[in-house]
This record gives sequence, C-alpha cells and structure tokens, in this order.
Amino acid sequence: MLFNEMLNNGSIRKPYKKIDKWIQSFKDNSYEKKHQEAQRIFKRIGITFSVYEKKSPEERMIPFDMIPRVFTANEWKVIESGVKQRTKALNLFLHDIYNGANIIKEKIIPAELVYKSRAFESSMVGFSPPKKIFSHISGIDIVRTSLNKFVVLEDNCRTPSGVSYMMQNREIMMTMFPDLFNDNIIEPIDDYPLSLRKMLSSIAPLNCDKEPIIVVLTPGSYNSAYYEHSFLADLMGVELVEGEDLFTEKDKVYMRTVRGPQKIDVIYRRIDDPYLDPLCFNQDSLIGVPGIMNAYKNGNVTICSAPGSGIADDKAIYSYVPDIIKFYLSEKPILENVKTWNCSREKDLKYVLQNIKDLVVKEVHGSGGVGMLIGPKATKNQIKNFAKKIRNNPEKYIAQPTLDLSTCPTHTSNGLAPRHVDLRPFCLMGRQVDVVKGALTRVALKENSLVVNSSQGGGVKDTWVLRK
Amino acid sequence: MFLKINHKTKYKYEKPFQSLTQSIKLFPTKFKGVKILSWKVSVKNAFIGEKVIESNGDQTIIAHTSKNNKSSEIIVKGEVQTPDNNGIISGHKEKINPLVYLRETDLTKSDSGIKKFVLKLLAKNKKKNKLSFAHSLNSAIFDYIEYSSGASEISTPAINIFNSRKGVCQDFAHLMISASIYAGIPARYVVGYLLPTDIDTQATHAWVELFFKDIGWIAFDPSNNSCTNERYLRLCSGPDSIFAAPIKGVAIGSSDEKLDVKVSVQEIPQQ
Repeated sequence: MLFNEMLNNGSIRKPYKKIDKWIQSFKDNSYEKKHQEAQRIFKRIGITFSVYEKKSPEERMIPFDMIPRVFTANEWKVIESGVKQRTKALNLFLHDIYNGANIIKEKIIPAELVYKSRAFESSMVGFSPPKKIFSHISGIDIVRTSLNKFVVLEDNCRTPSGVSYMMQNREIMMTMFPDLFNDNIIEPIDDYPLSLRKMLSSIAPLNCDKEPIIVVLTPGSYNSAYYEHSFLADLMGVELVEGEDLFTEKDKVYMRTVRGPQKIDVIYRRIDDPYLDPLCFNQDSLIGVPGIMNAYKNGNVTICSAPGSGIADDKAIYSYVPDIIKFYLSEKPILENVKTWNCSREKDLKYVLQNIKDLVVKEVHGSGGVGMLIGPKATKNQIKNFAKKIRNNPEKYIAQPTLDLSTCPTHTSNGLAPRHVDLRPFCLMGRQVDVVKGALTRVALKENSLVVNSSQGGGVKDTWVLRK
Repeated sequence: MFLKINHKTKYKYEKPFQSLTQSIKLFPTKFKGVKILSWKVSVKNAFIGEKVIESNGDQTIIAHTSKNNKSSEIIVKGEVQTPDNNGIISGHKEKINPLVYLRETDLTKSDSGIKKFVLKLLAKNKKKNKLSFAHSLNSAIFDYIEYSSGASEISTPAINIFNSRKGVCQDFAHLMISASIYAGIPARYVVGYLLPTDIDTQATHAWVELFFKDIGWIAFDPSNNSCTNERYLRLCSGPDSIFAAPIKGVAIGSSDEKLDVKVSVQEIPQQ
C-alpha cells in the first residue's frame, strides 16, 4: 500500500488540515490560474536548470507545484537527528580513511572497495583539514515508505545542489499566499545563507586571525547549477568567482579586484575535484586554479568540501553506512538504508540478474537518475541489454528493490492527483552541526513514476516543518 | 655510485605571459641507500612556495614566474649517492595504500590484446609467483616493443602502443603498468635520471614500480630489460606519465610554448 501523506485511511491527516482548507478555498478554475502564475514567477526569477544531453545543454524550468509537503515537529526530529548522525559518521569515516584507515584495518569495509574507487583521492592521504571535516555540506536523499518509516536512498557529500530551490519555493509561496504563513506555525528557513556563511567562517585556516574572506567558486554560467551559485553568493554577501578570478602566489590564494589582490581564506567550490587544480588533477582544466592544492596543503586556504569527499557518497560505500555509524559513533542508525546488492559480490550479482525485473539498478558512479534501470518499468529488450552491461562490468552496478515512495497531492492536467515524492534535507557541519528546518521536496510529475530527478522531468514543492 | 646531475628546462613563449604557475617535483626520492650530497632547484624570475611532501612521497614546489616574461628556466644541480639495490625500494616514506595503483587511467587501460598477452605469459609462468611473472613481463615487453623515438606522442595510450609496437621509455612503462594491473599487481609510473651506457643522454628517463605484498615496491625498466640499479636516480611517481610529470605548468595570456631540455648525468669518480 502506498502511503499518501495527506490522505490516510480516507481522512485528511492532521498536519495537512490547513492545506486541505486552503485547497477547498479555491473557486472554479482559480487554482489553475494560480498554478500558471507560480510558473511565471519561477521563470521571471530565472530559476532554470540545464540538462546535459548529448546535444547542446538545454535550459529547463523546474515545474513548481503549489501544494506544500508537510512534516510535524516530531517527524522532523527523527529526520533531523538521523541526518546529523549520518553526516557526523560520514565525516569521521572520511577523516579516518585518509588518516590511518582504522575501519579498513578492523575489516568493517573491504580495502579494495575504498582504494579502487575513483572517488578516493589518493593525494589527500595523510592530510587533515581544519576541524577534521571533509564534507561540510551534505544533502541526504530520503523517501518515506509508511507513516513512521523514513529510508535513506543516497548521501550527497560533495557539493549537493537544490538548496536555492528550497528557498525560492518558500519565497514564492509566501509572496502568493501570505495568509498561509500568518499564524506562525511553520519553521522559517530564510536563515540558511547566514548559517552557511557562519559554517564557512568556522572552518577558516588556523593561521587566519581575522574575519575570513569567503568566495563561492563556480565553473561558470553554463553549469547546470549556476543560478544556485550566484544565489548563495549573493545572499551570503560574498563574491562569486570563476577560476580565472583567482590566482596563487607563494602558496596563498588571491582574488583579483579593482583595488588589487585580496587574499582568500575559504573557498566554497562548486566545481568537481578533477577540475580544481590543473597542476594536480586534470591538466586541461580551464576552470580551476593552478597551485590551489599546495596552498590548501600548506594550510593557507580551506576548500569546502575537501577533495576526495566523494568516497563517502559512493554508491558502493552506501550499503556500509549503517556499519560506519556503529563503528564511529557506537550508535544505532536512526534512519534505515535501502537493502542494496553490490554487483561486485558474486552472490549479489547472481541475485540481481535473476531478479532484475523487480529491481532498480544504478551505476555506482552515476547521478541524476541517468544510466539506471527500473526493472518493473523496463521492456524485455531494455532488461536484456542492461543485464549484458552488468555482466560485463559488475563492479559498476548496485541494485535495490523498488520502493513504495509516499505520495502527495500534486497538480496534473486532470486536477490534483497523488504523485511520488522524495526529500533532500541539507546539513551543515562546521563548529557545530545544523540541519535547516525545511528541505527540497522533489516530485515525480508523471503518473506512477518513481524518478524525481529534475533532469528527468521532476518538479519541486515547498516543504514545511511545523512548530510544536 | 656517485651521480652528478645538471638538468636545465627552458620554456619559451611567443609573447610575454600574464602569469605562469608551475608545479615542480624535481627532487630525489629518499630511500635506503640514497644519500643526497647536494641538491638545488632554481627557477629564474620566480617566487617559490613551501615544499609539500605528497602522500606518495613526492616533493612538490609551486613556482610563479612574474608577468611580462617570455620564458621560464628551471635549473637542477645536484650530487647524489645511489645504491645498487636490484630495484628494491625500501625505507621510502609514503602513505598511499598500494591498492590505489590497481586503478587504470586513460593511458594505462587494457584491451583484449593486452589481456591476451598477459594471459599467455601467466600460463607460461611455471613458478606461479607474481615476482617471476613480473620479470618475464619486463622481458616480454622489452622484446615486443621496438624502441623508436617519434613513433608515439606525449599521451599515447598503452593500447595504441601495444598495436603499433613502437615507442620510447614512457610507452614501455605504460604498457607494463597496463599489463601488471590486469594481472592484479599494483603498478606505477616513475620518473628519474639514468646514467647512460653510451654518450647521448637527452632527457629524464621513465620506468615502473610494481608492488609485491611480501617485498614492497620493486622498480623495473622495461625499455632496458632490467631492474633499476645504482645508475638510476628516482624523482617522482604517479599512476601514469601525466600524473607523474615532474614539471607541469599553466601559462595565462600566451601560447606556443617551445621546450628546450638539457640533461647531463655523470658518474663522479671516487678515489
């Protein structure tokens, strides 16, 4: 049975009562009109998302759905503590595998799984970043499968995107329907940029004895998340820079300004590891900063997130996260994992090939819902071809059962109808660990679809956390 | 053996650059038997940062040549005592788990041709131990590839070398790494100096190191069908020639660089 977050056993669930009343208040086609207006506002603000396809990158709007997703204070407590626990454990894991690797020595995780992964950045071995934190910003993707069950689909420990949608979704709802927010029962989220800035300040290099200078480093305006990069820089009140705006000298990083070079202390980079420093990684990278890694290793700048953080959200590591939590925190995982088969294990591979039509198969290094197979939705031919790919490179694939994702009422061409949703809360880890009291809810707009990724036609919703 | 090194690398550009940033790894590796008597790396017109000891033991400095220059000159001078070690590298401080070197790169990927080549050798390897396999692989590659400069480029992958059967020390090394990884032996690319047996030495040399559980890293030179010895001076390493490059540079505001390299490796006679 699918869990409908608004309607349970035929009656409106308590946290959605207000929304029900609000929906009932629309007369005739006024809901449709408001829906169109919301899309126009989104477009006017310029929130787009480009999708990398084989042809030219295409700018797309993310459809916005007006009906909010709601969590009670108690539900949120579970999510929040679960996300914090995961983020802490994954950071302890990252620091450990780059410094001593006790978890491998204790045989909790197989050495090959870590060291043979491309996400393991060997040049970080032996390096300890400020406060021992590698992944300062994480986005944990969660689905709800019943009233009391929240399950983690995947962790995002590098530079998760989507937080700007979380904020804009709220902004649009508050602009269009101010009355909904009048009685002050919804937790605000507008302090996120300030929290982000405070977190970035708290991880400044040890030798920085003044208010740290922070920048957001973007690959440029053709990047799919460029809107978000400029949005965050703007709200934090820091500069948005591209690689060519920065240079290094004597192991320090400087920004070119009209008043001359300005030394930079913390870089929130939204470019991937291989492009960060052409002298260390991909030498053809034009978007990086030559010499930045030596500046980092000499303790003159902090890079957020640390290079090599991606090993913590590697899909092959994912199935070990419950063990990681137990190993470092001696705690029971608050949020469950989805049962996962690693095709690199012979037993798992056999199971996956036998049951492929009931499973979701993902590439270990894939993201954004690209390169995956949803068994129950696939044709015989698709399954046959995919099985061949798995057999050729089993270590590249993991498989999971299809989940009964919860649904929320959503605008469709035939009026409101239940559509599947997921949840990405954002966690900041610096001097302290904070989870913003809101999140990005993504919704699969096609009937029965389980793919919520914006690159695959998903939409977004405002996400409410109710006060006690 | 006592080796004396003189190594000059000059980059010339068409017009003055706005900035030139280089990473330089031209420092001798310290391991058992290596004694550095003197070593100096200087870069003309450049600010030089603090030396970083990399996770793999390499020593790196970053040099910034001030703007409006048209050239850059890196000069290395030094004297080092080297051991006759039969390729065994012991006492080298490095922190990376050798399993990392089972990862292929674009240059060390293997294809069915290389795999068959390895499988044939494995079948012939009666002793069934990895070290004896490595020695036979070293010889097999020496026999299979014809040493020929100009037949390959800076980033010709092992697969192409396997098909063309022609190349220089770099290409022998990439093929050896590719084959070793397929055979399950961690392998890496090494750059250093080699005292030539004949007169004409031209550049730095490249060879490989393979990891064996009970022994550690052992250095093979497939382009000379040997293990390394006192004629070799090790500088730096990486999964392939691009990662291991002892000098990398990014020049902004200029193009058309011309490279001029002079290397002299001499034995210092001892009384």
